[in-house]
Amino acid sequence: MKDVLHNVTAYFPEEWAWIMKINALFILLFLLLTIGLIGFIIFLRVEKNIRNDKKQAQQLLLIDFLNSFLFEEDFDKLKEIEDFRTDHLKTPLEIKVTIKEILLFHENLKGESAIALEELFLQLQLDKFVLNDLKKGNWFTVARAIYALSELGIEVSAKKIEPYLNDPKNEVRQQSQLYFLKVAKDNPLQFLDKTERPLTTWQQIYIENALKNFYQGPAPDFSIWLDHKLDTVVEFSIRMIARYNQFENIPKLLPFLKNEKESIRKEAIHALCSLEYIELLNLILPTFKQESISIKKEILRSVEQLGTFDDLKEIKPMLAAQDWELKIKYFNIEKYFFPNKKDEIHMQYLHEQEMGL
Amino acid sequence: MKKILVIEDNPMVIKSLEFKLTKDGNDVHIAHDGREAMKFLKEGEFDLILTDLMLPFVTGNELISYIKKVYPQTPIIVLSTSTQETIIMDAFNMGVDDFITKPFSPNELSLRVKRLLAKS
Repeated sequence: MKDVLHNVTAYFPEEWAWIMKINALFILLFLLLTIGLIGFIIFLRVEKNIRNDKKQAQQLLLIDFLNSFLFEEDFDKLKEIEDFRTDHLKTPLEIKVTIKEILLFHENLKGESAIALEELFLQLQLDKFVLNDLKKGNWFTVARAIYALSELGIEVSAKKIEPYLNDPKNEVRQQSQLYFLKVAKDNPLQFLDKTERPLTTWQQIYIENALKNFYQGPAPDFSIWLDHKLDTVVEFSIRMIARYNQFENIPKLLPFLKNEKESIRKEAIHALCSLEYIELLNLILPTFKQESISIKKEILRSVEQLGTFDDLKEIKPMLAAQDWELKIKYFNIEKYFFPNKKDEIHMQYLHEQEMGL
Repeated sequence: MKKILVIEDNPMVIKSLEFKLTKDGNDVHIAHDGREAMKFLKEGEFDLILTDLMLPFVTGNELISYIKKVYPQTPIIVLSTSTQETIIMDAFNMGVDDFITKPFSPNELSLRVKRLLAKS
């Protein structure tokens, strides 16, 4: 170290004090570092601009190509596709932009045009690139690849996607769930059998949405997953039984009213109430006092929907003095049973004022 | 040649509509937002207007009210991602002639445009 320092400082005038030499050395070092850093930033910026220019050129080319492919009758599809594949799908950037643009078109179009785009994707052999992406380790590349497959309805061996159902990343799990849902001809929730990680709220919303909007087959019997080891899957199945009006599954829901998990009990009460199971109140009213606030609210909601004023009165003695939230809900429901009660109370108040009471 | 005003902010949808409607023999004008659409409308009348509802600066509903006030005879087609019944009902109550939800079929849209242009 001493030698290195000596060699470097040897270039400075000899009459300089050693402290001057050290200062000059540091100035030089920082100058070089700054020039290097600025150079690196400029290089990155230029590279990004070049990349963006190439991206834009490919996008413009694709917009024309896709519109001609979709809407021009005299477009020589076979020749043009082959030419495009050999001339404009050479680099990974060109391929990525092409996949993105086809997906964008596919998201916005339906009918014959959407089917034509699915065929075009395969004819350009972009599925091979997507399948290669599946093998890469980056979670975002994998999620994007699965999304492309599910959006375009491209079926691949289930074994290739199944491992991602239990991926540590939520997004990858979500895309693989949607893939199985979108390509399913029947039994769209079969993937739940292989699911080992809890379903997030968003995943449950996306699954429900995909069931409604993409899946074309018969509605599955959701009671199959009522004995699933994951609570979130059980809650989701209970909710779906109610959403799809599967009245035949009411007997299978009853045991969940006594489940040790509060969230499952709440979901069961909500589902049975939605299915208008009249016996529900006889089962939940006796346990009102022991329940948590959130379940008590759910019970009050059930009384409002299925019960009578007598059922509501049964609850009144069980409300603690400090349960303000529940009391407000109780009086709101009371008002629901007697819409004129508010006016009656007000009239009585005016009358009492008049009488000087 | 019929004059059509397309008011849309999604570049992909714009290009497809422009391509398809021009191919069908129409003179297509594009407005990327409500403000630009107002400029076009102040310059002259169109044979048909195709508009999105969610637009920057001036909303689709405001535009529809304006068009119905100034050019009550001009047919309007709404092209929107919304599938909510209330939004669709509101649009029809405001006087639009057709409502197409995205994703849309370009062939179907082309037919609906032709039908309305023939009527007007």
